[in-house]
Amino acid sequence: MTENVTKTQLTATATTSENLPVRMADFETLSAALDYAAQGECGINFYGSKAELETVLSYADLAAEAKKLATHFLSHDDLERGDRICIIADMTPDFIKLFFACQYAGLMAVPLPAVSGLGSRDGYEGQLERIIRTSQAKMAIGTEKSMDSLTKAAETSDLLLVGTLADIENMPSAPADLAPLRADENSHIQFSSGSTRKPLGIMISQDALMANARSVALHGLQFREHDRVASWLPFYHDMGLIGFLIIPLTCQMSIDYLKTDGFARRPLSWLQIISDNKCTMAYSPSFGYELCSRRAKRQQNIDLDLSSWRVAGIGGEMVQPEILEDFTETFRSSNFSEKAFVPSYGLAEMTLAFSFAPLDTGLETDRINKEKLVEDHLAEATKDAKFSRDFALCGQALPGYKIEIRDHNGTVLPDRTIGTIFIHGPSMMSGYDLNPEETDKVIGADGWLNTGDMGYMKDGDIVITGRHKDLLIINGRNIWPQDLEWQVEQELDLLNSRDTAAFAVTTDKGSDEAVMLAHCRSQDPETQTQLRKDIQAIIFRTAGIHCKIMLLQPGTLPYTTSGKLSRALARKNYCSKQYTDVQQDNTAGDQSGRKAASV
Amino acid sequence: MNRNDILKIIYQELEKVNADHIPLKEQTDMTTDLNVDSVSVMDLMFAIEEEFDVAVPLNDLADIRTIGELADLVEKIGAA
Repeated sequence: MTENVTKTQLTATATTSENLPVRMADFETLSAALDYAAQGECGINFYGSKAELETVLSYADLAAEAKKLATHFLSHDDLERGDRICIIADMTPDFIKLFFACQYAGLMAVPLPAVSGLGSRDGYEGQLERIIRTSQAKMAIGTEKSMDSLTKAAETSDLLLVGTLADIENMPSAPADLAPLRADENSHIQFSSGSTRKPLGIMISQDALMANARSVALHGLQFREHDRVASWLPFYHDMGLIGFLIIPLTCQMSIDYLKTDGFARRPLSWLQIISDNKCTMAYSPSFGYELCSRRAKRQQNIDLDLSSWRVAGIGGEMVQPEILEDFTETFRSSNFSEKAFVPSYGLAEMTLAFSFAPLDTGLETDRINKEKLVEDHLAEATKDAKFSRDFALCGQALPGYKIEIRDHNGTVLPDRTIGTIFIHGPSMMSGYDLNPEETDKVIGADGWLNTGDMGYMKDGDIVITGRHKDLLIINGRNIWPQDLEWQVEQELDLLNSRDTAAFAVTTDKGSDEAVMLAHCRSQDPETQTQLRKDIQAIIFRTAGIHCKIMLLQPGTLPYTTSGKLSRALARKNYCSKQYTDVQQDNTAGDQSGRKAASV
Repeated sequence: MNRNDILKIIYQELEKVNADHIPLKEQTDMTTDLNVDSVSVMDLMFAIEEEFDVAVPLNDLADIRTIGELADLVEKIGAA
């Protein structure tokens, strides 16, 4: 492992390179972008949980080390161009070196998630196993600590190597010409779509990547001199990998990283780094801003200067205006300006982002009538504070991108009518890896992508009213209901398949709350209590969330004519209080009543 | 740092999310007996880091379920 030893002498990389003119992602390939950045003084800095600088990796060093690693890959007789290399995407220099080594060696990097959460080992290994198998990987690389899990996960695949970066360095290397991925080839494969049960690899081409990087740099965030980014977003998500590694790198910008778990323990370290290094851009789901305010309220002596922060982006989940207002209040004395907030919208299938709210203006919301929203799918503007909801405007589509709102029949809907969001643009994925069937489900014959998200247009601005119809987004994490249902049905003898339905309900504050409905065949109160507890525990270990459990009489859950669970109907019935918990029935009886209520 | 101090901090933090007021002991399985979520787990890790200057890696946390196991782990990392 290549750790810098003399920590006391460490200095973070400069914000600007004196003698290298800035180029805004106008490269044909990612490797060409790194070659150019390597001529300057900028690079990547890794910080510990207390905002102390731990490791520095200049773009020059990154390019040199990635090229060296590439020669080892290229010397391997059994590796062919385009072969897949799974790499555990810890927030470390090693991951970045390996990722770029693949770029120089003509290989497809596949970032793997890092482990997270109490008691989550088994679920994690299953997840790795499925990605390694689905991607038909030839190698799986991780840190020493992750080797046990990685080895176990690789058992079902026939790999050439399961090991660490050091194992790659120990492979023979013949002097060979580098064979970087070309402009007409893919860049990497990102498994951040689909459920963890049936992972889907998103193939991103070099063209798409560069197109999106240019759009974001020139139009979306309008990069300028002295811009510098800070991030804690993990590399196995598009916002972390594309937004906060690849795009800044294609513009030769310095990056400061705080490890994701360091952020989770000490969210204020993120702000400390921004303050110390005069960072100008940082993104988070609403949840991250909430963690910061919460911690700040319990801590005295906050000494931060956030005046340099010009883009405080929000992406990855629904924008929650109240959380942002709270953040502004909390950090006003630290010179944070609410004008820095930039809601934006995108998804990994489109490489990253394609609409941004205007810069330097802050959050703009649209207050709409809640009843019209639920009953008629209309976004009717209202001034009434009571029966309304505020939604954030996520700006207009970037130049070259088009957004349409369509109904079930594919008809384009007028302004202020809610429907499914479709997009078209230059950074569309090449498709789901090795899965044309799933690709055809989202990319139509007309070349437009169905995002699955719901929203409406208002004078050219896009407003998101709900992310993908099935997806649960809790504390910034995407959770597929199928994963939760499968896991509990698999582990618990009392449950059979199709006995559970998981979904999210939106609280009044706009955040998601997880609910699971489960059939309960036992009349015994003790068994019922145990079942509830077991379900809760399995969901916690699978997804790290607290979930509300409702036990129902067998046969209560709704199915479609083809026998598939209708999650949407189950959710609707739940929200209109048509279900009664078997235990509430047993005890009080008057817990919820049956009167219909709006969402 | 002794084991009792570690347990004290863990109990103190978990008591905040112990909505059902179940008695906390070393055998308590945090993933089944308590209504914790990933945020409260991280609050607990923060408290431990503040008190003992011990950062528990996520990788190690993945094998932990009970309060006793967590105390063992913190003790081990602290001694290293």
